[in-house]
Amino acid sequence: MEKIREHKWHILFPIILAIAVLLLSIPVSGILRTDTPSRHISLGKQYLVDQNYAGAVMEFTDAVSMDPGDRTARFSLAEAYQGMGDFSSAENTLLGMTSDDHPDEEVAGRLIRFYEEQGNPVRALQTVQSMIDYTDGDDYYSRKAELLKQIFDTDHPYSEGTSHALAVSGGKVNGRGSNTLGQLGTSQGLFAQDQASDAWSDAAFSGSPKKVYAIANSSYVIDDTGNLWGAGANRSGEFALLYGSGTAESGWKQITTDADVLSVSGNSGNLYVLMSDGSLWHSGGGFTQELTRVDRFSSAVSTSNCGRSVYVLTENGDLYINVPDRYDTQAEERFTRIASDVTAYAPDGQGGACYVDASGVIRSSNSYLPQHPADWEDTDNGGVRPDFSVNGIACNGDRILLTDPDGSLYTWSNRGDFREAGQLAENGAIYSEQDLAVAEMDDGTVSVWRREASSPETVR
Amino acid sequence: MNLFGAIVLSAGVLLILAAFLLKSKTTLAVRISLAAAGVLLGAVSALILVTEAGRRADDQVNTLVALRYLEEGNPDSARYYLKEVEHADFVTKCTEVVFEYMRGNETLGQLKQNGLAATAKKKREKTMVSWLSDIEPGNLSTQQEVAEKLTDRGGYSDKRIRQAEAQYAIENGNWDESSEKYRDSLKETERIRLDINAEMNRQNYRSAVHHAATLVYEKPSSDNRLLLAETIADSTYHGDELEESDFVVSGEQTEDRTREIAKLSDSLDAVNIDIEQLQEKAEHLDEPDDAALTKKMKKLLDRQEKLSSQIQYLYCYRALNSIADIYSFEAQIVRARLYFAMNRYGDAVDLLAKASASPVTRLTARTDVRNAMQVFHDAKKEGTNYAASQSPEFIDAMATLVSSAHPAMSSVATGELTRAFSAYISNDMKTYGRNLYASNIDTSKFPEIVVTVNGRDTILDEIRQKSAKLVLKDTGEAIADYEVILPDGTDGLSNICCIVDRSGSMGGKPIEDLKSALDGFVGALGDHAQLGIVAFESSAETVLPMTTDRISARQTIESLNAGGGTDITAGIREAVDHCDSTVGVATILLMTDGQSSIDMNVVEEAADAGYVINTIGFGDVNDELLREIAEMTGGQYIRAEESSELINVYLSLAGIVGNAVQIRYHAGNTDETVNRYFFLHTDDSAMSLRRPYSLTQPEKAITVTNVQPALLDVNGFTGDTLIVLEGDNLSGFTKARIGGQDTVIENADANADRLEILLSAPLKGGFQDIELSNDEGDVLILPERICVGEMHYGCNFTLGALTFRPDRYLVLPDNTLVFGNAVNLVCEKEENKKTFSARAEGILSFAADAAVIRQIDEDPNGYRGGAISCGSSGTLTGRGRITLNGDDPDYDNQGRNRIAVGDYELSCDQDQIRIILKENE
Repeated sequence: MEKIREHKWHILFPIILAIAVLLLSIPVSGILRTDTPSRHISLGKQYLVDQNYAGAVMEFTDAVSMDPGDRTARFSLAEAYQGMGDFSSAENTLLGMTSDDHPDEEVAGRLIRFYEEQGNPVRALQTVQSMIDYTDGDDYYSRKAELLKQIFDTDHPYSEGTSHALAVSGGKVNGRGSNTLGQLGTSQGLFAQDQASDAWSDAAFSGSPKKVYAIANSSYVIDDTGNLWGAGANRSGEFALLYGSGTAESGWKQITTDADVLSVSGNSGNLYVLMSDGSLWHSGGGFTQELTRVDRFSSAVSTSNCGRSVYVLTENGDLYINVPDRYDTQAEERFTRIASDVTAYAPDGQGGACYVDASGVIRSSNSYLPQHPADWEDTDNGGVRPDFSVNGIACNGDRILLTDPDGSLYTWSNRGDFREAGQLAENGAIYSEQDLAVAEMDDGTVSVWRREASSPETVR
Repeated sequence: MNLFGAIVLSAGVLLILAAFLLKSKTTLAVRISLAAAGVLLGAVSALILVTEAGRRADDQVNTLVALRYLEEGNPDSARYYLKEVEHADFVTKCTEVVFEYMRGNETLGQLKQNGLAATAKKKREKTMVSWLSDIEPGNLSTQQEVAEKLTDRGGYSDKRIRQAEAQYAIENGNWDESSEKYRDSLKETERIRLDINAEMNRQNYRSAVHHAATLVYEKPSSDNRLLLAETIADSTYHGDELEESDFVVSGEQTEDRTREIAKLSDSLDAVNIDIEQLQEKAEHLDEPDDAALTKKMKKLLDRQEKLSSQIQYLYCYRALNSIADIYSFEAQIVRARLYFAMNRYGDAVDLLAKASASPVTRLTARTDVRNAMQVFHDAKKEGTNYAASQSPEFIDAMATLVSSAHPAMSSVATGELTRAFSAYISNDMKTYGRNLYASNIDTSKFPEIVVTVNGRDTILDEIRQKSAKLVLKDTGEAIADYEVILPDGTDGLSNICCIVDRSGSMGGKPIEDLKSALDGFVGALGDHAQLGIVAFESSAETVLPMTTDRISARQTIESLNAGGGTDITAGIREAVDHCDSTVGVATILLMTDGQSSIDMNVVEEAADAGYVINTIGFGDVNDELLREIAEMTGGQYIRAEESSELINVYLSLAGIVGNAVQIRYHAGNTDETVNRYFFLHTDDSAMSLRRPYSLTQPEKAITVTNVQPALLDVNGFTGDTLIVLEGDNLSGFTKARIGGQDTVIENADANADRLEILLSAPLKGGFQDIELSNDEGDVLILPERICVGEMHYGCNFTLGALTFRPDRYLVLPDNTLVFGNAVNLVCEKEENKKTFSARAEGILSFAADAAVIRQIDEDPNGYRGGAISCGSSGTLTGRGRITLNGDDPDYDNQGRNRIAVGDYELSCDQDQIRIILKENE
């Protein structure tokens, strides 16, 4: 006992030392082992620098699953998704960080930039509008003007009316078909109802054409400075010249507007003009021979027509349709909303529209969607989510054209056949009217996909 | 190797080395001590390594069970086991890839697959990566095949595979020899826990309760009592009625449930009688708002609610009592789950919040639970600003939190109660509809503007107090001076009428969810609100007349049943009629899950009368229709994905609907008439409202598009002549004068687009006005609508390039020619090639000169066949309409082809014919 007491430190020392080492190693191993969001974020950022987007996505996903509210992790995750080309996931990640009631300015800023980079100014504009609604800030109004200008920059190179067609080619407007009412802009064949020509001829437009529209028996050109010109039928005063024309007149007449013109739509006797400030104006119909503002829409981003139907997409993503008649003073009230949250749409030739909603789902107001590829997802109310982000859409009644943010063009036929069909020009147009879908390709040509045609006609 | 073990082992080795190396510098005793300490640490590290090996075995079993679930196409259950794996080996990582694909997260699946392909070094790992490449996204069978390969050929021992197979079989009630053997190898209490998990997985909740009661009987530890309470919560949530026999273990006596319920029922009856007596007493009081009486009533109502709940959820209350002495975090979680099962959602979330906020509970060893607690804490702190509350990651974290009391129970982690509870927490933070919106803008006294703003009390208080942090603007200009007033006629009371869909499609869960939602809504309404309920299916009825009586409201709600068709129009009409006859204008809350056509006139009438209709839809509902109804009336449309969200939707709306103030101000900018807007931003609530408006109000214009006959022969009056006016909005006119002569309107009460006027005496020559008036004395003058002159028939006329042929024409005393009633207008640039062909209806006049009159005098009816020339240029004045003929080049065979309506001029020369519209009356 005495010996133990004498050597007690020799006995206690190893025990104390062992305990001390054990106690010390617990926090050390803890520090080395602890899995925290910041560790994943730090690693993910390194991957981002190295452009290892896949690795970054995995790290940021882990960080988000540990702390769903971590803004840095979510912003970085969106960046990583964007880096690896998964734009749909990038967009959804950012959208998940904001709400309608409390739009987040930082998120909105990133979304606007994101949509611009994706070549989707309409979606960017809708986001800007949500911030205008929330802040009424001057910066957003300026941004809106810039984006509307971007929308103006999209071409509209080909259009078909009742019996004539127009195309922009080589800096000129060319026309073909009937010129009975002077819709081809020249005096050649004027009044001659039986002398429609299939050959293209110069429409004698003296300015620099940007967009052409053939609506019923009228022709419209928007030049590169945003001026609007008309030729052909003006029976109902649609040219806003304070008179209707009882006889045919050759040549292009300027339609005076208060602002630059973004696009036009209409039908026989009616003209709708979308200005660069988002306002929509109407002339014709037999009751007005000057442009009058359509009060129903405080701000629109797009208008188009198909047959007698006129479509208007507002900045809030509401898609309206109307079939204005000649002498229809209540036409404004008859614009009926057929869809909400729309980012892109195409008249379907059946009085409705196919459209892409804010969540990237393709829908149809007429329940018309072809059978889709197996790896696309069916969603509620008959929608379908493709396995890529859809930027643009056009439809000719038996085929839907889609584009992705990279500008790849896809065709999706009624028979369910889905395939890639080339590359769209940078900021190239994709749209539909009547029973045709039009795409402006990167080789400078314009492809026109007609209903029931298996391949497109190249018109430029 | 475990990091902790490695550090300890290294320290041990270092100490032993030190004992040898310090031979010359220290005493033997010290060296022996150092060596002993080294050996001691070595022993500890060996222990750690053994434990680690056991954990690794557990990880392998968990991976194999996850794979087994994936083979069955059940990623939800697989997820639980994958989360249980502490250290993922290559097989586990491959399993995670299959899991990501199976739950549809292809991007992440592909990323993880690429990552594995890059890191695979061994042959076996490369083989596994090659299996993964066989997976086709969206093709379940390819994913199941890979899961099977990973199980069979992933390199795990047969022992582990058998163990996992047995665990899987037991969980799913598939007993076989191997699973029985595995079960028998366990301790008694472990065996019972396994049985409980299996029964819960198979949704045999009563049986699970019985096993749990047995477990508590065997070992009444805290953990086991909590597990029994958990099984009761699950059983209650699923609506399984428990019996006393479920708790009987080894024949022991238990408290008689029937007797306890009878006792509670007696108490409830007594309370009900007290309530009735108090109500009777209140009816006979002179002063109905007696404060003492109200207080007493409130107390009785609370007691009534408590007793009803105790009867309904007797076993849950017993469970709560049985764990009342347990104060752990796990106990709080179980209590929260019991509350949730009893539909006391708010209490459940509050309890969870309280438990998560406690610093003691943050000391839990489980990292995932600690993270989940932090996430929940952050979310509660930020409230609706926490945008991530709807993300799958947040819902996953909440599932981890609400199932954390029983980590070893897969049935709890993957069960419906956990899913519903975590989804509820997420939905609870979701904003349904806007918390601030303008239901009306009155511009009738412009530049004075009155905006009706709806919102929560907190926001409206800021407005009432004119908080300095408010920003108000009108069309870009700050509103410095404004007045806040109560909406007209409300006197601070809000009247709310709920229109609810009780059609057949609402049967089952939806109607029950609706009842719960309405019940919650009633509870959340302020004292100042009156509530009425209109239920509709194929027809509609007022099931609860407007009242502040919450008891009748709750009884009515409880009696709602589903059946029949869907007629939304009937619902709106009934609600408006009921409110009109009782309280006047009310805020309406329309809820439907169905598709139905609707008479929008009813909605328009409701809007005109000042009703605001908020709409709620879920399921396969016509979104656009409900949105339209809301927008037309100044309400908002709220979309719920499923009926279970109705509870939160109604609760969200409870503080907003009918809660309004009006802001009156003078607009500074009076130049703009369109594209105007009202803007309001509150800094405190971070809320904004921007409401566009326009000063041009659509009016129902009175128009006359045609008068027949408009041309009267001054020499040809033979008696009564019927004059027909066609147009829009002509109803209401009861008197007419033509050319100063009082006439009779034959069809004054008929319709709005046609008036028949009987002329009983001849009119004097020239243009004559038509004067229409109604009983209020309003007069509408239609100038120069009837022409009286000398009538001729059948001539062709030309004016410039225009040739026109009236079926008749008049020569008025002042030599004006009036052509009618239908005049064909033609322009032929070349023979037989018409460039313009139209028909003018109404009247077309031309001021003829002597030359023209001379031609008419020579051949007034065109017998000679030639055209009368009105000159090479000139203007025709028209009133009526011009319609294109079918042979006009611009004729549209699908449209109406009217190119001018009202007053117009036709300006003609040799080259051009121009149609110029003039101001209409």
